[in-house]
Amino acid sequence: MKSFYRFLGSKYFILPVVLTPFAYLVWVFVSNSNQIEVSDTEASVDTTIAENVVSDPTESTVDDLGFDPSLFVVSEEEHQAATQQVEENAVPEPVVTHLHEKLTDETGDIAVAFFILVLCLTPLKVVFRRSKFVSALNRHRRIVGLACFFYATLHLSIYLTNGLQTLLDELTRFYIAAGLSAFAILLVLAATSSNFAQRSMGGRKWKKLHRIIYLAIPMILYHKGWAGKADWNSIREAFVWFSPLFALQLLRISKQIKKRSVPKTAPKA
Amino acid sequence: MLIKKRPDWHLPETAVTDEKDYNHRREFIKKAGIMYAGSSVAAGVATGATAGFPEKPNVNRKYVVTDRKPTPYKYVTGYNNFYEFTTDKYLVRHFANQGWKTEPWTLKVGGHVEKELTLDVNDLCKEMGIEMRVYRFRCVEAWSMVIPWDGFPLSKLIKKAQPTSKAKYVKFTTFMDEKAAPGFKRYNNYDWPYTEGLRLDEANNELTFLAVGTFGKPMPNQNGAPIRLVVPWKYGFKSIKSLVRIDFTEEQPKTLWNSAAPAEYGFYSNVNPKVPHPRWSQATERVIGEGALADRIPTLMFNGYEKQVAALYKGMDLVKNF
Repeated sequence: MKSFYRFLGSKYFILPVVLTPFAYLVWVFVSNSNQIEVSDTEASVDTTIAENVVSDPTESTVDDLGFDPSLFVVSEEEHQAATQQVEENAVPEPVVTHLHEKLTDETGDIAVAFFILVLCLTPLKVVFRRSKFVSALNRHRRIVGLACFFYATLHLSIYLTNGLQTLLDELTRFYIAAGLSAFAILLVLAATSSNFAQRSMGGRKWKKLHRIIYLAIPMILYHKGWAGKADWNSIREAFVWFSPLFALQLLRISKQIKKRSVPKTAPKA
Repeated sequence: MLIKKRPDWHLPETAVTDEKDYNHRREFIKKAGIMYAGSSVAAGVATGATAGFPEKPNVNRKYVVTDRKPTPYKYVTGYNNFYEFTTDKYLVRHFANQGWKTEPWTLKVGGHVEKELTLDVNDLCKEMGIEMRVYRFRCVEAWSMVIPWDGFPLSKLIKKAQPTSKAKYVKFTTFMDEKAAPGFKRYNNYDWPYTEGLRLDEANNELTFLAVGTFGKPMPNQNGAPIRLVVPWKYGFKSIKSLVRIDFTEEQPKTLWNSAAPAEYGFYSNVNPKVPHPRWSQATERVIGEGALADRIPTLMFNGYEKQVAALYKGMDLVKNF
């Protein structure tokens, strides 16, 4: 059991945990990149067709339309395949229609997951003070936080591939501003995460600085919940994601208040 | 449309993508098994209205998009919104084909009309005749397709119903069957059933179409079997699916999306690249089926149908009446 906790607290446990999502992202990219190829000959044929079409409402057959008529109709088999009752448990394969939107979504979700995880670790330690499991996990706070920063950086970079102009246009949208501010916070904290920074700042000051992470909670909650259609479902979803964090932080706060309210005259053990 | 370099006017993907769609996908993939594990689904094919379909599609060349190729059938039938079933665009196909009966189907026409009508959709197809039009389809979420629709102009049905002079608007209502579709309960924050509306002159426009099929085949359930509206110059949500009622009204009808978020989805909802959605730009759109990294293309005013519909909105402030 002791060696289990040692493993749990070691890099052999945490490195695969923080790197697996990256492998997943690579897999998403590779498995969908075959859709990128569009043959150039097809493209040139396409434009010549468009130029040749003469619209004549009196004609109503596909034959001389310019397009391949088969594009307008499907075979009975194709129709059956698209409308047949799906077998029990069978779910159609999702089609990735736009890779970098998918990657933005996924990197964002992964970053938020690590963010929630890292902020759960401290309250877990306060609530379950004696659990060896929890204290083994707590050894990984720095790397989990850095993983959050890493995926957030990926998320922002993929977003920026749309061009800087987009960012400038979008800054006025509050969820973009919220996401960007949260990223700024993560950047500062990641930059001061080293032992060296910790030492040179002094523990007390360092801790004070790193408490600004709590400011990022509402920002990221808003960024995630309101970034989609912002209807009730996506907002609810964001709250579900954050609920363990809220629950644990509340528990922690109530525990700390209780601790503080213990009368000072209580006999020391 | 196949240009690969990325211009500056590129939209941010966060502005367009429903995060919840991806998130719900995971949830649904897990739950889909549980939900339907108990219900044995009979083998068979669910189709929409089948009668009155011509052997060869009767293409009306006046209404064929020629600058873009039609979107592949698998995307048209495998990627769309239908909140009555699920908010996940990839899974609509799955949930809409779990035994939902769309035949026989009756469509009622009422309100301010000379004579109320109760129509069987198959009979209606035979009576109206079916033509094919290839329209652009632009979703408010900034993705687009080009779809061959089989059907007939709405004006034909309006002529048959003979609206009275009191009729100023047309209200459309879709089905509401909680047993057939899980979305009514799951997303109970919406004001079901789905309703939409058009001004009478919009409804009478040459482009406004009632579709009973796509790609020369009866309408698949997921695309709004057996009969749906297609209003190509407006955002996709105006094109209400699976119609059960058409009413002629004096007042502007309430519509589901307008009631749910009045600041985001206006009554008109004309495709307009210059009027952004409060949370994302509408200047460009992503073309479905063009490959995973395909470039966005500029969105056209009235979705490219300016010639046919601009007169409807003469003198109107399109920013105010978005």
